[in-house]
Amino acid sequence: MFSRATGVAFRFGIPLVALGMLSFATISVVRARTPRPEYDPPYAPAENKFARSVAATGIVEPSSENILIGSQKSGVVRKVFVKVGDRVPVDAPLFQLEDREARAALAVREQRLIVAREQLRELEKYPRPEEIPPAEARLAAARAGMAEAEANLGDQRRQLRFYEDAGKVRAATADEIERFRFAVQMAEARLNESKSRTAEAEAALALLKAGAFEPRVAAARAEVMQAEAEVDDVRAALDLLQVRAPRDGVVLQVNVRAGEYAQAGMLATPLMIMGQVEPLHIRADVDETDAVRVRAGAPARAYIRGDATYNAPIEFVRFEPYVIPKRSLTGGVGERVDTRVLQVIYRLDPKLLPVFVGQQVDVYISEELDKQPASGPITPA
Amino acid sequence: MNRIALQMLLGDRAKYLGLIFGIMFATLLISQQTSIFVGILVRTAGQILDVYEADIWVMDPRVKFFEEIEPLPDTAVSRVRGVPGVKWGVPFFRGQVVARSTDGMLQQIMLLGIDDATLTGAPRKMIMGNLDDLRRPDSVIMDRDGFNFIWPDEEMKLGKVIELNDRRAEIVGFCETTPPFVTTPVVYSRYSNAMKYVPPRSKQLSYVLVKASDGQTPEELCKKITAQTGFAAYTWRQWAWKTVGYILARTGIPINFGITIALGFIVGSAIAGQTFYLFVVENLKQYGALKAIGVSNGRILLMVLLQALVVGVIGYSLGIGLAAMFFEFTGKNVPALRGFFLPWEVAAGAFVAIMTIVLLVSVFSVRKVLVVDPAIVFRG
Repeated sequence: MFSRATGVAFRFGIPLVALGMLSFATISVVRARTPRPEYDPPYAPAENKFARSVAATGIVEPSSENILIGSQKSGVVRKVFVKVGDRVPVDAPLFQLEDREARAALAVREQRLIVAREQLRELEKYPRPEEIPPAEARLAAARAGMAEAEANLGDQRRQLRFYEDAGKVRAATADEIERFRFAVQMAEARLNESKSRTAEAEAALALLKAGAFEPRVAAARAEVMQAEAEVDDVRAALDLLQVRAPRDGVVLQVNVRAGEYAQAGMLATPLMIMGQVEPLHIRADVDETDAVRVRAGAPARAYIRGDATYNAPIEFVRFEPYVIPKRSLTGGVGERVDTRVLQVIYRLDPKLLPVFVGQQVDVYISEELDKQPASGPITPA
Repeated sequence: MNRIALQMLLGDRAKYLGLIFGIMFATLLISQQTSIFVGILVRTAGQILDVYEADIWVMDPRVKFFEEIEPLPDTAVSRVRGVPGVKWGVPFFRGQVVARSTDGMLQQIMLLGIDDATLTGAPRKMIMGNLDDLRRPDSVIMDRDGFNFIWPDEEMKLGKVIELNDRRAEIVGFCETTPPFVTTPVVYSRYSNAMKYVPPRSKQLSYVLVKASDGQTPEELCKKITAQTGFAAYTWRQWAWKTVGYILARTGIPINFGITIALGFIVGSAIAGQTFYLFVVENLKQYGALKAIGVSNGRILLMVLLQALVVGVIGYSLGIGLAAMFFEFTGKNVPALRGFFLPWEVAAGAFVAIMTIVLLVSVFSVRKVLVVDPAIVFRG
């Protein structure tokens, strides 16, 4: 039925093909069974170096905490005196709000003060020296008038007496005597009048010499003081238009530029942030369930995120005594309160780690006191 | 005698081929179906196996398998890091979101958020683009199969923009991952980005990935983590098995596949058994003759077993070779079967099963020979 050759092929061919297939399967199976590779993470994570420790998420902040600079007044910003990163001493001007209106008001007030002062000075200058001689002259004239009236009265009386004597001898008529009697009366009246006039002139001179009326001077003085107070008021308002550094520190953020409107009060985005960056502080959030394991003064270490080979020891400063709801630091949408955290403040020498304020770091806090991890202060050098 | 046995086997070539094909087919059926089943189960844990860096997965104790998330508070990362023996711990996010594109596409995707600082859990096989580009704002990396699934007619191109939760996401890279169980596209992003791509919730963290310190076995560390934090902790192997176990226990997949495999097994066994049985029965006369010239029953049994062994081994070899070829080809070229392979356990198991069937059947068939009356030879 089959030739001898096909018989041989049949007898050995099938086992050979089978052997080939088995080898192929073996290779395939062995190749598929490569052991699972082990990789390190693409970027080194923070590795715990303490035997027993508490881990926390920290945020770098100035040792003065972040000072969110606010403005007392709202207004358009005219000039910003500092830029980000500037070191500023206390009371250094940071930015200036629009002050033309206040300056104009100041000019008005100052002018008003000058007016008030001049008015006071005028009152204080009384009496005018030029007015006294005419008054004295008027008094002298009045007195002269009085002397004349006295002399005239004496003359009339003598004449009356002469005619009365003459009347006794019938040398003068009754009519003539009566006429002279009236003349004496008239002279008396004239003397009285000139006496009054002298008294008037004397009083006028005295009034003149007394100067300004005291209550009026006091009123003018009060007016001067009020004008001064008003000037001070405007000056203070003007001063508030310039925002100054509350303490020595570094300007960390500037969110306001010349021409923008600066709103007074608490803002979601502060106008400026400043703080003291030497030393830096790290505010570490410890989950409340771990809080019991954190001791004051325990050694701790901070690791930079993204390259944990940068790490450095940090020094305990204090606890925030109030445990707060955790504010999510993961940069997500809004604020998510899910658990409460104990905040522990540590001091970091900024020379040890290349960190910026506001950066997140991983923190490991030893559970045992006075045990620094074996590795050196900073790696890599 | 063995020579005679082999000559008997090769004497009828049609039967010989029939036997071998029967066994080959049975082997192929069993090993291929079982391998696909294993492959599908591995896919359910694919995203666990794709994280190569971590020893341990930490999660809420109520989480039952990878796809079901009960989020942890963000501080869980710190709490886990504080457990002695933890070398490092990083957050890992897993979520489902709907992706939209400008061309109107709408697609459910699996979003994985990896730690911003370390990129732990990042895809290891980049096909296009650079892993570091993930650090760019609004950037994501998509798996290749996912892209081909969404845009079957398009060339892969970097810079394509999709929308996740109304936010822009630019595809900066393509990678190869283990395809997920339900073949949704896999999209990687940084953890902080992922937070923007899912609707906000009070808790978001899915897992904490942990590496054990040197000199600390992951299993012990798991116990310590659970004791100190109250979270569940599994080694990656345990966690993958737990996920697989959940799928096995809670879905109809194992039953369906089990039935298929059992059918394959039964059909394969039936073919092999029946063919071999007929072969023995038809050779009854020859065995009778052998008995008549005084060959012992034991000797005859050995002869039959030898015949069984030969066809069994040859049939198995051909069958397993075909199965291996199938997976070598499809495992690389067919996305739906990507990553499927022939595990050695399946190959070995199929061998044991086939040999058992063949030997059992041969013993069963040989009974007739053992009781045969040598006179049968002379009866015409």
